[in-house]
Amino acid sequence: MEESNYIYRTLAIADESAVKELLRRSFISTDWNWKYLSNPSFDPSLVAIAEENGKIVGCDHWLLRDVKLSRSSVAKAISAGDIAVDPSHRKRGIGRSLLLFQRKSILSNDRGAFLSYAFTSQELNQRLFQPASGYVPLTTSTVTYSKRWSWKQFVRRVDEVKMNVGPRDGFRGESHKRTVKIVFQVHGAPPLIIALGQGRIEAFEGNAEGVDLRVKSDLATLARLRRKDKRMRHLLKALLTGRLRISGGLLGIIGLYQNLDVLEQVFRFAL
Amino acid sequence: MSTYTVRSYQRGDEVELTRLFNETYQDYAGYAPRTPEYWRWNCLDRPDVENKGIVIVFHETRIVAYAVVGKSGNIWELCFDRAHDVEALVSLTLEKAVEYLASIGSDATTLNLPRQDSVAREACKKLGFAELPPDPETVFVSILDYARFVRLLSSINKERLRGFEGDFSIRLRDAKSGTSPFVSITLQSGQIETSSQDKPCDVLIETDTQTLNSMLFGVRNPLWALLSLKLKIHPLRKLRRVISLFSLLRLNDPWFLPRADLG
Repeated sequence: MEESNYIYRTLAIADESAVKELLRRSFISTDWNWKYLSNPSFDPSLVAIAEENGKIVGCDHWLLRDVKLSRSSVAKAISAGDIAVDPSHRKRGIGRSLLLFQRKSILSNDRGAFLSYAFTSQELNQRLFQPASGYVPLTTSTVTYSKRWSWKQFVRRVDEVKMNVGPRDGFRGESHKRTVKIVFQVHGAPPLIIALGQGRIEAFEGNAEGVDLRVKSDLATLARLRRKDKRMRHLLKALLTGRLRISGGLLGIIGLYQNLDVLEQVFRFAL
Repeated sequence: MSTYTVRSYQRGDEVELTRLFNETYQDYAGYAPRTPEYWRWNCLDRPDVENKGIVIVFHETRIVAYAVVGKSGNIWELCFDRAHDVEALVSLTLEKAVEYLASIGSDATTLNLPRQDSVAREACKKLGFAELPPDPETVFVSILDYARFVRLLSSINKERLRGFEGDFSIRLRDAKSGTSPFVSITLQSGQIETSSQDKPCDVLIETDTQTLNSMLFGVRNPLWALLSLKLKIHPLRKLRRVISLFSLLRLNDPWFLPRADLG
């Protein structure tokens, strides 16, 4: 199917539920009514739609708002919001065409904006935003702090994780894997115990007795390890600098190694 | 600390809260300046926030600090009056924020602060907060109209540009759809003129969109761009003038992104 089969236009009132459904199918969790409809900056003419045979297959939300460019100056700018393409219509240039449609439309109807900014990932920027509109990453002065005092909510979410992790990744019936009980001791939080292996995932707060392995670290190190980029480098660095300490018997370490993929998914879904 | 009192949000507080937000972050760029209307939508009406999650600290009758705390654990906004004891205000506000989150069964909290705010950051550390590694998901910017953007930059940097004169023309090799590939800049007797037309000039600068954006936002040094063959200058002997131009025009103020502006 050629890209030319798609029609690009702005949002109409009747499109609302189809756009929400498209975002849901694209795994973009957004409270659309709050984020866009109730937003003082919302303007339906800044939402682009890609349509094929009357079906909405792509959307891109822009908002016109003030942004501070320096201590003393405020400028009108476009804040690029959620962009989504139906999974069955991807890799056909729809995302790029939506961005170009928006760009042409904002430049032809002078809204006073001469700058656009997007909060996105490096990966999406390189694949979509940069080639279409020359977006460049900015270094900001923002520092993020975090504090954890409990794992109760995490433990509750593990039930959901069992459903997400299990069937798809062959978690069930992995009888060759060792059962391993690991305690995570993160600075400031009570010990978290996770038992894994042979179709079992259990998480609970409690005392660290009778575990196979102890993992001791801090939130900053764990945040680095959760990222996919340079993970092995971060892991080695954390081990060498003592910011990550793993202690236990050889069987515990083998158990951890065998269940590493499941453990990663438990943290990804539940944290 | 005993001179401060704390309560949660009450209708009508937003005028004072937006004043405090704009004062707290007045030295930074990158965020949407707060108006009561914007604040009501962004904080008060946010599905993640309930009124009792908006912690407000008073000194006598004046609001001196507040935090907008979401049920998700996100502290969407944290503001404090720098004329007061910042460490005491941040500590008190965050203690109340954590108390609220613990009362609704949350496990953890996350907040953003400017890197330059050493007193507030120290207060966070003392409360057991950990500084997370820089987030790879960040802000990306693109310019829609170079002539108007350069005009704005020159008005922001008017003092720095005083006495700098010249006729420059920038030619973009890969102008994006709808954007003119030309920007001409004339600086003369303290006046700055910009245009999207290709005009005769003393110095011609050829580059690409990404390099130009990077130089104007201060992400990349023009000398680096030249050495990596991303920038061509005709005549080359005007190199120092071009480096000066971009150094004087570039945005300098640090960008701070409150969590409320991210999502």
